[in-house]
Amino acid sequence: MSEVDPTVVFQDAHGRPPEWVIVLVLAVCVVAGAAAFLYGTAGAMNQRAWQAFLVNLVFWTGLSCGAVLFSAVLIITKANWGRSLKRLAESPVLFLPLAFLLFWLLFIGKEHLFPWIHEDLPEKRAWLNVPFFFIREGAALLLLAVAASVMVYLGIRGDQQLLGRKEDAPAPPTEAYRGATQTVWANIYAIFFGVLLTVVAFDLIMSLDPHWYSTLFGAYYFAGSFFTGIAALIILCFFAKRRLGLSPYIKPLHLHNLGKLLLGFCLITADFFYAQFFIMWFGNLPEESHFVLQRVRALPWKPLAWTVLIVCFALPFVVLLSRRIKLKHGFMVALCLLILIGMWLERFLLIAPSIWKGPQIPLGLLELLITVGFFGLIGLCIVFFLTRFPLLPVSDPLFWQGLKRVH
Amino acid sequence: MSQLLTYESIDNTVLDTLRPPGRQYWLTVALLFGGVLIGAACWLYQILTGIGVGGQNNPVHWGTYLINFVFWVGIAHSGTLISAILHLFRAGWRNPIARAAETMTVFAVCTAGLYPFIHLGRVWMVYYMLPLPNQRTLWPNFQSPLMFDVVAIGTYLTVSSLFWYTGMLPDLATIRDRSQGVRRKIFGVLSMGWTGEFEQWRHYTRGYLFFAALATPLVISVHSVVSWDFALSVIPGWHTTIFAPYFVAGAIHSGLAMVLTLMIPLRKIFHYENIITIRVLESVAKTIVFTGLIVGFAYGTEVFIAWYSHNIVEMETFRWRALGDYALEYWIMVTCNTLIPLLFLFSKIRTHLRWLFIISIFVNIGMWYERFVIIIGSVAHDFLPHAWGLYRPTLIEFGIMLGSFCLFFFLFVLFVKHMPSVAMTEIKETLHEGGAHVG
Repeated sequence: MSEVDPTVVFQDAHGRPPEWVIVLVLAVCVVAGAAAFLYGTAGAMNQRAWQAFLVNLVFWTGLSCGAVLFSAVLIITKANWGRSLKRLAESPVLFLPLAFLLFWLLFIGKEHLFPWIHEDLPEKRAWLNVPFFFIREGAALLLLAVAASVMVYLGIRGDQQLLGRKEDAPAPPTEAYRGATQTVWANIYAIFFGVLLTVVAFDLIMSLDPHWYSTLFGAYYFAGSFFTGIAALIILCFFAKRRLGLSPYIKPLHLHNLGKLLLGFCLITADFFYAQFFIMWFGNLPEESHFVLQRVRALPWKPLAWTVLIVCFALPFVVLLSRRIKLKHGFMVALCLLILIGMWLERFLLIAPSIWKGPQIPLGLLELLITVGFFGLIGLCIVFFLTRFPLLPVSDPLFWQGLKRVH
Repeated sequence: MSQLLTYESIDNTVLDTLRPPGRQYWLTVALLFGGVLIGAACWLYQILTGIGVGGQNNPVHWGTYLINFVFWVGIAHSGTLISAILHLFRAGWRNPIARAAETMTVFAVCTAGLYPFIHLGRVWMVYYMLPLPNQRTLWPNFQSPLMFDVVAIGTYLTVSSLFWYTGMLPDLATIRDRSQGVRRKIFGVLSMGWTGEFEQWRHYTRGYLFFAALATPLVISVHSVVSWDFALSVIPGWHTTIFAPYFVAGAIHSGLAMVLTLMIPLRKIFHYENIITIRVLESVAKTIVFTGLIVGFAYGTEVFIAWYSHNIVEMETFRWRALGDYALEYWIMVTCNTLIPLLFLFSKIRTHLRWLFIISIFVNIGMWYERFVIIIGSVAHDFLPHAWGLYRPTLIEFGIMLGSFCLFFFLFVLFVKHMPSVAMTEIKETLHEGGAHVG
């Protein structure tokens, strides 16, 4: 049991300047992605480029929202164990306003993506029409970005004030936990997360096959998003320990708990998948089962469906049962990377078969480069956030409580 | 607001509840037993006369018997949430109410388990459900969700009883050590030779953790299977993918409300104010807001998808639910389950005992009506207008329902006066951390 020295904590919270090599690499990724996207949309591969863009938008938006939700859940449940990870979890928040902006690009590509624009579907015109579609999706993404940013900002503001004071011996806040406004915003964000990501899932994924519908689909998407968010957080922790000097704050306890959460949400996502699949399989109604059959029984998608099932659910489930593996950070990072790739393919599997009519799975260099571009973008957001803002929530009394518990 | 707890004060408070009860207690027990007898008499009458004495008929074959079955299975769920899931989450506030909630689970599953029997025309043939080798060449249909249900409920009852009893062992030993005579002997047998050795504690804590870890997926699967009794059909309003998670959340919603309904009087009568603090009840209330929001989300999604699907049968089902013959029941469900619990967002309301109690009753009522709306509404008004029909429970069904409620409370009342209704061990375990129950 070593005592926590506030001075050291305050110093660590200041963070470090960005490493320009990393920024440069990420910027190159963005440029490569943008170039590939422009090349794709301009040429004969425009369908593939738009499709890959949509998959990435849906995947990375979900991941960012999921990671930020981790912080919101800590705030709502007044949990103190994970408070030192709060900033890391919040770091993808800057991607959300970008996602809102990127979404509007879909307006240009809408003809390539949404079949209901051409199809004669008068009975669904009230919901699936271009102006209303873009207004409500734009509103959904904007509200998500605003709620997340306000919640994050309320936490950062206190830290910056505390760090800004020029005192010789800074002291942790002594008053009881006072995050009432932040708690309110965390609750609002969590509700938005459920409701608005459902709207996003229904519109950006479900409507690509306008005859198909499933009530659980929204919940399946946001549960999976939280799953990817936790996986991303575990990877971020790995880099934060090495590059940001946060190793005194990320202990085996955190890894163990994150591993348990990852296992939990692996199971929940799998459960939602199964709950959805089983009902359709058992009911065997043509308007429902065609969606499943196309992906699970028909070529070229069948092998991909099995890959996703194994990589996202079966493998992590078996591996994560072990406590020892949860504590091996390097191994966990590898597993999380695998999960993220798997979940990307899962989003791809939800989207592409609805609109892609070619004989082969459209996965190639173009898709890879566009994905790399999105990765670079979110990477830059994270680097910017972690170098500009305090790394530790020093104004949060529960953070100090958590430190005492861990040390 | 409360005095600090010590090992001794915990023991004394809990052991005080086991003193010989007064006349009022036995009067309550007698009244409840009277209710059980009424239910039993109604069932006997139904067995002798035939299943037709209930209101179930074409097209609604599943009436209050199924409603109550699902209702009681649902009540059972929060017990496992509190004892197992929140144990895995290390949520300290669960400790003071874990025992009572777990007890509620066991008795609620027992009560629920009676209904499939009650619903059988020839109850003495119930063993047909079991996959026993036989000469009648009858074999259960393993593709039927009703068969899944027999397995799910059977497993659930077994696991939750074992979990409940395992958790009670150290407490039973405490009572044994502090009593004399026959009672000492009885508790000696019940505590299975617990001595509190290091080895025993080691096995106990491991066992408890494993039970918790295994009970968690089990509890989710049980109500998923219950939901599939409906969702695996193609009946409009039943056949929908959200059913499994929605039923699980609804089950926990109703069960948490029942926890409040039971805990608030228990706390008052047994002077548990220092152990079951207002913060514990507040946490339950907050969780009710969460489950209420999930349930509300499911209501909304179902209506939206029915409209979005543009499937005329789905659309008519949901229009009729909200505006048709059972509109009143539908709106009771929506109001009591999602709108009224939102009052718990105000900390004044969720820290006020009277409000907590009243709202918990409303949620109980709402969840009963939810099952009514789902089970009755969908078959009463399915594909063919020619086959539509309404259902009304008969007096016999009400009698049996009264009996089941009385049975549940009868068992619970007997338990709390003869067994430790608060897990002394678990509160002592977290005492040094200043757990949630202090302050």
